[in-house]
Amino acid sequence: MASSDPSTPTTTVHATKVRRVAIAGNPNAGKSTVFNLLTGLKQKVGNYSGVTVERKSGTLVGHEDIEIIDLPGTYSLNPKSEDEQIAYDAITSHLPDEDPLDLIVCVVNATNLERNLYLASQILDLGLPTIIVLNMMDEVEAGGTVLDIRLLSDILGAPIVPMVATRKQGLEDLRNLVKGSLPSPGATRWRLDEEVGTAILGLADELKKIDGSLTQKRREAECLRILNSDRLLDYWETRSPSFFKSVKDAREELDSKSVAYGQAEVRGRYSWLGQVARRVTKTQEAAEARKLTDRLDSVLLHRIWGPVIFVVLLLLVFQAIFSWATPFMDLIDAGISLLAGVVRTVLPEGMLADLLVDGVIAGVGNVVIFLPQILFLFFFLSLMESTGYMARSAFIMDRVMRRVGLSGGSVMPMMSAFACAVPAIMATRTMKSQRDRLLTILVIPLMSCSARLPVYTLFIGAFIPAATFFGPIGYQGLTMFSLYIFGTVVAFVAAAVLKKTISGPESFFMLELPPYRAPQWKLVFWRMVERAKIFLIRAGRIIFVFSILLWFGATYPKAELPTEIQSRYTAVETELASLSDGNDDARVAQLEDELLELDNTASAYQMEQSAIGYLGKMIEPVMSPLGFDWKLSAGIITAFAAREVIVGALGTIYSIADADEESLALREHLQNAKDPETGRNLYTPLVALSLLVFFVLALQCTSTLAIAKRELNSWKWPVIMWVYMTGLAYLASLIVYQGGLALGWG
Amino acid sequence: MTLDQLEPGRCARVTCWCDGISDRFMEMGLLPGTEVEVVRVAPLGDPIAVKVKNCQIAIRRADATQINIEAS
Ligand SMILES: Nc1nc2c(ncn2[C@@H]2O[C@H](COP(=O)(O)OP(=O)(O)O)[C@@H](O)[C@H]2O)c(=O)[nH]1
Repeated sequence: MASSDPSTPTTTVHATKVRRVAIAGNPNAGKSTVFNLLTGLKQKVGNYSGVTVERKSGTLVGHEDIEIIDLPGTYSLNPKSEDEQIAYDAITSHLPDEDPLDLIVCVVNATNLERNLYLASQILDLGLPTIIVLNMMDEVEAGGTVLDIRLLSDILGAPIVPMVATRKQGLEDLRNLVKGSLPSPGATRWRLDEEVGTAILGLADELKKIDGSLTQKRREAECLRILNSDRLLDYWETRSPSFFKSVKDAREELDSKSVAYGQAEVRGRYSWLGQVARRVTKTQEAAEARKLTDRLDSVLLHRIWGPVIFVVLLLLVFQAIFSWATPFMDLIDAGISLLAGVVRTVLPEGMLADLLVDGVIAGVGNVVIFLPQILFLFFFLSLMESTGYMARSAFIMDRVMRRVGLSGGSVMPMMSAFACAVPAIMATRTMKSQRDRLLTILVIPLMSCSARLPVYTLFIGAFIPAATFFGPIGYQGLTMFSLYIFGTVVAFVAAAVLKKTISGPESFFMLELPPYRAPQWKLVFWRMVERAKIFLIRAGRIIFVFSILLWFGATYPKAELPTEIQSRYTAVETELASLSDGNDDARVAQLEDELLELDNTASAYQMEQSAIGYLGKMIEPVMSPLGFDWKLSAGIITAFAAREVIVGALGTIYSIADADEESLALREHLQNAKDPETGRNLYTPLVALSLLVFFVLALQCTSTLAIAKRELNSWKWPVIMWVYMTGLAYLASLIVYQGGLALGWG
Repeated sequence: MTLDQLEPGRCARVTCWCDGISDRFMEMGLLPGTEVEVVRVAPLGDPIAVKVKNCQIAIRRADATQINIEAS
């Protein structure tokens, strides 16, 4: 693999920004909605350096010098996962590649004040300029609740903007606050257990010696964070061993007095917040949205109807990406051919034209063709996310998925993988646990994607009898179905095995079931476009490089044609030239056919002599125990760029122009190919079965590797993925072929 | 009694915690003294959806066994 990778996501340096504003809040509080309102739709999506967490930023509409950053959602400043860690580091300005923040906008779901203020009050404790957005005021009012916002603002010591983000209510007030003078934070008044409080004061003094620039309030707040979180403490082990030790000592001392310091903050803060919530809330009834949600849930999470509806929805999505996308994919295909044709006519015949058409356009075309599937899939996924159904699907499926070491969140991505692994891997972003996400990504390519379909069709059509044995069900259909099931079962087994080898915190499951909401079409649309952009740019670049490499491999070294073919060429060409126009049309057509056949023979010969043909012969000894000769082996090598490439490659090898999976000629060539020594049929149904098994399991798709690299931010896991899947494929094919031979099926 | 034993539709009060359960549940408001209601059980019996502080969260039965409650 290339060591310098052009797709490495970068974090841009923001030098000229006058003010940097971050949006924080609980998941589902409406951060994205507020972010979109503030920034319009000019957003940049990247990654924080070194991690897989997505970084979204933009500028305040009309103010290029005010940068707005959307932080990952978090329930508290006690980080439990990579993205929560980023949120914490960003708020406390611990990120080395980011400038410090000037202002924090904390989005609070007003229907659930107490819990949302937990995070808000932790942020306020840090003493940073903070604005509180009380979002979802429409739902609060619909529930007949009145909030005393001025009182709440006084208690918290921070400006508060009531908002209905989906209707842009309160946007002007928020904009004015964001660009106005920075608010100075007041004090939050909750009481910490006395013993813990004393320990914190001691630690704050220690911290002062290391960093004198922080305010006392900020130091105390950070010490409380560090006391409670191993994750945060680890950071100090190298940075300041003495402070690290002080914290350890403080913990031990509190333990020895059996003070439950871990609970001190939660208890203290919540007992205060309980009072605050009671004081500012005038009436309290179950919100209207909740009642509707309960009614919907009693159907959508019903013991029988719940799973049934879930499966029907899945099938619908599946159907959409499988068949509704087809016309668009055909259109793109036609467009690519058109482009290739234009390039051919514009450029002089030669290496450059060949490289552009057969290498770049064909290779990149292989990626772009997936775009309709990506758009459809992400349309449905963001729709489910936006309405609140996504969380329910995880709720329904968690038990099943946990059996094999995955979690409820893996269902959607794994189902999407039947269409294509690339969008499926991108869809794992919604998963909370990094470990579950990694595991899911590692097994996704085992699900049979649509790129395997042409290969399945070709070999099943050629070698499996078309007979039916039960009504309309025939052996061919059954084989196809078995291949899909086989891939899925292996994916589950692989997950169960890999789970044991991946270290990391045990998957932590806690899922909020938000009320159902009408989708925000704009947001759904933009999320879809955003994903498509990431896909095209990141995966496209890698594919671009690989296709060029592959083209060179199939084209060089240039073979000297055997004299026999050359003299036939000369003969045909001279005769063609000698025939004058319109004289002997039948003979001209015949000669042109012959010329075409010669071209095919020549390209097959070229293939045999090329680097890839050479490789095919080189690995033939390794592949022959699976039943593959050098031609199939060479085909398989080309298929490592993308599976369906093997159809075209075998076509070239068997010198048939314009081979595709429906081509009877290629099918017949495969059926009739003879072993030059024994004269027996080269390919038997057993060889076909072995090849099919190989294609079910092997990771032959550069796009998948590229996107996995991008999502996991390292080559380590893509390489592991490739090795284990290809190893598995080899082993399984070996067992099938040798077992079959032993049983006398050869 | 532990939270996993509470029947859907019934309310209870959290009494105490077993060691080794994630403090995230506490941060979500499942504190001693807090009112909880099991709203429903997932179609396959696990996880369960509980209502706490006007918000529904899904937790696995294995975790719910770590939370002691007293029916109210
Ligand atoms: N009723 C109502 N729904 C809102 C409001 N703001 C956001 N939402 C909805 O809340 C859900 C979560 O919003 P989102 O911005 O994705 O939240 P995030 O997870 O914090 O980024 C979406 O379905 C929004 O349509 C609001 O003010 N009122």
